[in-house]
Amino acid sequence: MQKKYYLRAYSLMLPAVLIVLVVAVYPIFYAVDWSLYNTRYLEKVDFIGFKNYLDFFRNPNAYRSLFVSFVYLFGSLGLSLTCGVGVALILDKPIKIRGLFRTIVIMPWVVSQTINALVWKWLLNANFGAVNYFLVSLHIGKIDFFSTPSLALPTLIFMNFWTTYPLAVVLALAALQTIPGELIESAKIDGASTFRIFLNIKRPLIQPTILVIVILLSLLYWNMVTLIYVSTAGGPLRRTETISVYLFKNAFEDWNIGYAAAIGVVMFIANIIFSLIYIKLLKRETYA
Amino acid sequence: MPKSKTILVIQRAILYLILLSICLLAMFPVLWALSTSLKIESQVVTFPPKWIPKPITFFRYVEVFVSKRFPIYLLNSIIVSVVSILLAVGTATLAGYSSARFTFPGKEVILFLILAATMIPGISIIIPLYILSNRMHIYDTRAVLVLVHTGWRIPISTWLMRGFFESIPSEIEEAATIDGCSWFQAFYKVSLPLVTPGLGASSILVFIYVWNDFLIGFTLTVSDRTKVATVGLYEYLTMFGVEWGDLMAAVILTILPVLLLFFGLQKWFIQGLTRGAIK
Repeated sequence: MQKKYYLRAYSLMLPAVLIVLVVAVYPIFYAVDWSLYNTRYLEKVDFIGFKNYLDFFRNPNAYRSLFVSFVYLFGSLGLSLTCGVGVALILDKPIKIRGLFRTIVIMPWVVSQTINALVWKWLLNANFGAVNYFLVSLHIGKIDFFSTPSLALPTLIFMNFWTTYPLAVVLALAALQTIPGELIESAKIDGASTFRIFLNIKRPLIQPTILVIVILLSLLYWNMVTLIYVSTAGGPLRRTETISVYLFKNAFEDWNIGYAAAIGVVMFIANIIFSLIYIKLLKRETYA
Repeated sequence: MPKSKTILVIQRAILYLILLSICLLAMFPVLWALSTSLKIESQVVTFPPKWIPKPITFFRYVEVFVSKRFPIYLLNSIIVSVVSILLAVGTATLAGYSSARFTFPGKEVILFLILAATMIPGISIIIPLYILSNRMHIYDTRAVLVLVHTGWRIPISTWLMRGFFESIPSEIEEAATIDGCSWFQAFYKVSLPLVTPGLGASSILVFIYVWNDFLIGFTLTVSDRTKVATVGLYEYLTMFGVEWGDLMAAVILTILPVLLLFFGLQKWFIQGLTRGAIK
């Protein structure tokens, strides 16, 4: 009887676990293995230990990519978090046709990074783009956003913000809606201002959710390839080459497979660190 | 001090104004793409831009459909998405059920493994998957796309389904078993219908990820026979002399299924997103 029960439980688990092992867990070990070799296209040439890692930490382009990644991450995060929570606060108010507003606000989240890149490239087109029309009307003149080294990264950050901040809205709104209305009402009766209510009542109550948003978005931005690769492929002058794009180009344009695998392992370790901080902070928040 | 009526009205007005501009920002890129896709060429490449196409033309959509390649890409996207949903949500439902209803040795380890798998970023394992698919001669097939997508979406779907199964009391199933149902009938006929929102939430999340993916499609396929829509769009862009009007028609065709499902099944989508984030 007991045996049959276990057999059932395990066989229900088996297909899912097996597929995850094959296409996610095994490949990461495979990446670690390949990162220790000198490679030529898809052949391992010699075992070189940690040389690929040392090369990574000695390469100025790698440092530049780390710097770009952090600017991209914190820039996007700052925008998405403030606007996301701000919009959630507005949508939490008793407004008319809230459902429709919410739907439209969230919509960019389901637009793929590829399409986001293509559409914004057309919107920002130097010759015929809609955005340049506004710039010309404002007497600023036409700007080629993706070819101007100092503007390419801020432009990408904005595009990234456009498509990802709805996640912050959804999560923050869900958290705000769990706050009992009486709490806010009694504070209002006591004469608290809207700002005070946010700072002293709402903010502490949605703090754990804000943490979740920060970590989820940070990981998303850190690992992001498609939006950047399709828009600029890291250019101009490597100004938008984040570590993930640097990895991707090393692997599939230059075929430095061993080296790229090493960068992948570094990125994976960074993911674990992000996640551990997340779990730790979340625990402290919930039990504090 | 009670606020005067005028101040309240002004506050409201500002609130709606902000909300409207946010909505405009959200819709403008897509509307611009739609407008471009309906224009004749002389109206696309003109400055200042024409906002409303006049005359409206559908020839770009016809062109996309009679072109030999893009319909195949769309079909590939559909096939890969549908099969991935069935496999990912199917296996995740079984696993979620097992972890919610059974106690067995090693359960914690397995659950930890599944959760840990969500921490492995795609970019870190796309190289191994490229090498492995070449070695196993499944490179450049729709099957490898389905396999990888399924594996990458199982962890979060399992987590979602587990939560949904845990929220229905096991007594319902026990009652069914006493009435003569086998455990499988109790699962299939009693519990499964009760987790329909979970199945819906998982399916729509898997669909959006798979349909929107570029990384897996771009690295693991190369021929026209296997290419998905997002990869086709990218290649169109990198071709010499891109026709923005045609490209935008293809863009609209590619986001249409996602937008329709999103508008139709928004409730499930939001539920999946919030439940999936807070584990």
